[in-house]
Formats: sequence, structure tokens, C-alpha cells
Amino acid sequence: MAPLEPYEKVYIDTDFLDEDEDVHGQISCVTCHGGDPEADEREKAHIGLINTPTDPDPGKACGECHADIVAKNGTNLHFSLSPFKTKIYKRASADPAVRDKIDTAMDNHCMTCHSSCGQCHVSRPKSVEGGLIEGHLFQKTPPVDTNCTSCHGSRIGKEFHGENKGVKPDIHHFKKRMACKACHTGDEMHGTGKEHFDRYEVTNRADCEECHALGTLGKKPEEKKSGKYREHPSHFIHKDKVSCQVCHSGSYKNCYNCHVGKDKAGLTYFKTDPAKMAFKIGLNTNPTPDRPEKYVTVRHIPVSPKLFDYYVKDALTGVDQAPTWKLATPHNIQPKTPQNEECLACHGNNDLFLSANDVDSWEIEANQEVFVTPPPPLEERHDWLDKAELHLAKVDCLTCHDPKQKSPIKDCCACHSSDSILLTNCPDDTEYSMLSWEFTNKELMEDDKYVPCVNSIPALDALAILLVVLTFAGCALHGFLRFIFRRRT
Amino acid sequence: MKPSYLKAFTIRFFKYRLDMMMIKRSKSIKTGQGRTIASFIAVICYVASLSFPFALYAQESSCVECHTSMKKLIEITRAIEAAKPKVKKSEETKGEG
Repeated sequence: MAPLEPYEKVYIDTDFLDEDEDVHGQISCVTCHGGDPEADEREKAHIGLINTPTDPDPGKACGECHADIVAKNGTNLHFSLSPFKTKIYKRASADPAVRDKIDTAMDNHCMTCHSSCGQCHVSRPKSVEGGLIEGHLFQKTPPVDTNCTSCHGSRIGKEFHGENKGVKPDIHHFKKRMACKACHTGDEMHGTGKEHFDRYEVTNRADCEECHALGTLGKKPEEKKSGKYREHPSHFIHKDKVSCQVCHSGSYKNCYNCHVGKDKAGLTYFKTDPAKMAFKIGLNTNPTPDRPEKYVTVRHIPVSPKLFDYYVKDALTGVDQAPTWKLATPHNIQPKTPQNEECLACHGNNDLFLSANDVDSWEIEANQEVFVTPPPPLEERHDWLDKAELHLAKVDCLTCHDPKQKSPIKDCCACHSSDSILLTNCPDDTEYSMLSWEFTNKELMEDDKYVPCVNSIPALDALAILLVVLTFAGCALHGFLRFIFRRRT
Repeated sequence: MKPSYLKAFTIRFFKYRLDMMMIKRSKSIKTGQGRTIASFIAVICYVASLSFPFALYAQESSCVECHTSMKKLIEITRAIEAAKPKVKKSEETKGEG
């Protein structure tokens, strides 16, 4: 994002002074910004000026009216960035001297992304060179482009807006024109008053099920939700086992091998390897009642053993203490994705699952809890079946793995019998019945769903029997008539 | 505080003071001279009340005056930018942050 012109950064729209437009414009400038308004010269007027009245302490500027929000500000992750530290400390050497140097490095690099009340609601964040948004008019909801994605741009912003080549934008953006705030409420942004290890521990974080009723299998939920009601057997089958993103997100960006330092002029820099687009499913290392799923999407983070080498060697001696592939919630949600086209797109497709082959040697130990042990091949798991390959190719998975049943059907006669379940029930359509008068064999043959012992149509059977009877009757009649006529001659 | 509120407050304040004075004076001097003096004071107070809130607002308006004028800001910020050493970014930075 291009920085603002210097004058734009400090330009105040006169609307700001109109009480009807912004009540904050009725507070005198000096109350928040200090300075000397009686001075005749610019330099003198700016003596004691506070550029960012809400950073580091928003108490004086915001606290009088927004006391409840200010009270929680210490636990606001945008302000504290505490997960950066907790996660680095988990990998860091315990030596206090080393820790001090890590802290210096983090203050110079990682912690510069920190935000404050003003840097969301009044100006652009400092990390993108600041500047007032909308002429100092306070924004109850921070604008997506100038604020949210100015920090969360390379991954979340590009995913959400469909700026990654070959990956569609998030459906919530391109169909519903929803902005960040639709899911990420002010309450979530302002902290909970409790310290959290990472953002996924925040209890009032965004949750798909806030809007979408899932896994109800045929029954519309009693509670009305604002999102589209999605009735699908997969939701029932995978609920609490697989995260929504596993089925509904596309490829996303993964970052590798960051290291930070200062150049000869003393300017800070960072270097990262080129990002790679990938989609990987891993194990959830921290299942909670809020997030009980076993399988989740995981993203590679740019940590590396040499991250802080410029400041101190061997800073991350415990680099294997935390995974380098971590739980992720990509923001490119689609109703249909390659992995939810059919069951076998995931089941049996080991490439989607994170394994030791996907990581460098130094990462193997760190990701042990995330790796998914590949299950035996499908044919092997179904080897109890007669003609297993034929069944796997021809039979819809849900026919046997019926979500209404507690366990999969393993009785051959459930299908291959005169009272087969296939006569009245088909997973594709609950109204489907071969006993219906409207049913013809055409549908059956087209879909290769012919099942021996089952697929007979009573009308066809009666017709065939009639033909046989008529044939015999014809023969008998023919014989009888010949016998009569021969006797006469 | 908005000037209109200050103005209303000041007018009410001085009117109150004037009423009190009128009551006091009416007890002691019940002549036309007393009423003239009171009217004179009232006029002075009224004129002062009009200028007083604006005087308060003017303190703030030195900030507003500059920061709402695009032309002034462009001139000033150009001068500042020209005098200020440019903040450089390291050329060694590579990749996405």
C-alpha cells in the first residue's frame, strides 16, 4: 500500500468538527495531543505534542468514555502481540543473557507490527507509515484496506480478495461483500481481559457456526442463523472431527526461513525465502471444547533456527519444542473445493496430509504431533469385501457409510437381497425409490448402479413372464391347431 | 466544548448576575438612575458574553486553522520534508513480511 502524502497524514476534515459527524471533534485538540495552542509559531505550538495519544497508554485519551475497553487493552493481542513472545520463548534458550538479546531483536523487528486504539480507529498503523484516515474522523469499524490488510495483507488479505494466482477469493467477500468486521467483532479485537497463549485461545473469536447451522442431518435448526443453512451428510459425518477449512479452503501461502538483522547503515531488515502456495491437513495439537477437531489445516510459519543469528547465536536452541506447521484458518472459503468434490479426494489422497516428507530434517521432531500417519490403502481397508475394487469404483461411499448408522454397513445382504436398502434409499436423493412407478432402469444403468439380486422392476418381471407364457401358449395353440387340421385331412 | 454551548452558558451566567444586581439595587435605589446604570452594565456584559466564548474557541482554532487548510499543510509539510533527513529502508530486506 502506497504511503500517504505528508500533508494527507495530518489533514483534518472540517466534518470532524461537526458534532453530528463525529462527537470526538468536540474535544479540544490539547486534551489528547497536548502542545501549545496559544503559541504563534508552528514549532512552539508543537512543543510537548503527543502524536499518538493512545499509544502506549490509551487511558487518558480514551479511558474517560471507553473505560471498559481501555481496561482490557493490555490483553488485546493487537496491542500486546503477546503470542509472538510466548511462541518464540517456547523455542528460545533459557539463558537470561540470550533472552535479553532475543527481546531486543523482537522489539526491533517482530513487535513493530503492534497497533493501538488510534492506529485502528483514527490513523493508519505506524508500520505502514501512519497518517490520518478520513481526515481524523473516528472510524468505529476500521477500514479493511487502509488498516486491517495493511498489516494482515500478504496472507489473509490476498486470500480474502483472491489475489493469489489460481485461487478464488473468499465467498464471503465476493458474493456477500462482507468485511472483516462481519466475523471479527469489536469485542474480539479489544481483548477479553485474560492473557492468551495465542489467538485461537480467544473465546470470542470468529466462529463459522455463529452463522451457519451444520451437522443437523435433515432437521432444520430451531435457532435461526444468519448464514445459509447447509444441509449435507458430510457436515454430520465430519462435525467435530474435521475443521471447516479442511473441506472449504483453497491453497494458501506458506512462509519459510525468516532471519532478521541490521545493515551497515544500522537499518533493520528481514529476509525470507519465497513463499509457497500449498494446502496441508495436519493434526490439531491442542484440541479444546471450542475446537475439538482432530484434523485441521496447517500453515508453515517463517521461523528458522537462525532467525536471530545477527543478534545472538543459538538463540532458538529449542526450535523443536513447537511445530513449524501450525493451525491455520485460511480466508479463501469456497463451497466447492477440489478436496470436497468426492470422498476419495481426501480419503486415500495422502498428498493432502502433512508428513515428514514435507519438512526439512530439523523440523521433523518439531512437527511430530502434527504429522498424519497415513492409513492403509482403501483396498486394504475394504479387503473383506468380495470384489473390493469393483465396490470402491461403483458404490457410493455413503451407501455403506450411512451417516444415520452408528457404524458402516458390513452385511452383504443389506444390499444384495430382495428387501435391499437400495430399493428405497439412495444417498444421492432421499426421495429416490426403485419401487416408484416413475422409476426406469435408465437411471440405474446410466449411473452404473446395477446391483445383482436387487434391480428388478416388478412391471418388467410381469411383462417377461407374460411373454414366456404367451410363447408357450402360442406353441401349444400352434401344435393343437396342427393336430386338428391333420386329423381332418 | 462547542462555542454555542459556551455562549449560551455565558449569557445565562451574566443574566443571572444581572438579575441579582437588579434585585440588590432595586432594594436600595429605586430611581431611574439605578435602572440606567443596570442597563449599561447589562449591555457591557452582553457584549462581553458574545466575545468570551469565541475567545476560548480561538485558542483551539490555531490547531484547526492549520490542519484544516490543505494549502497551508502542503506548503508546511513540503518545507518540513525538505529539511528532514529521509527515513530509509534497508535494501537488504527480501521477501514478504
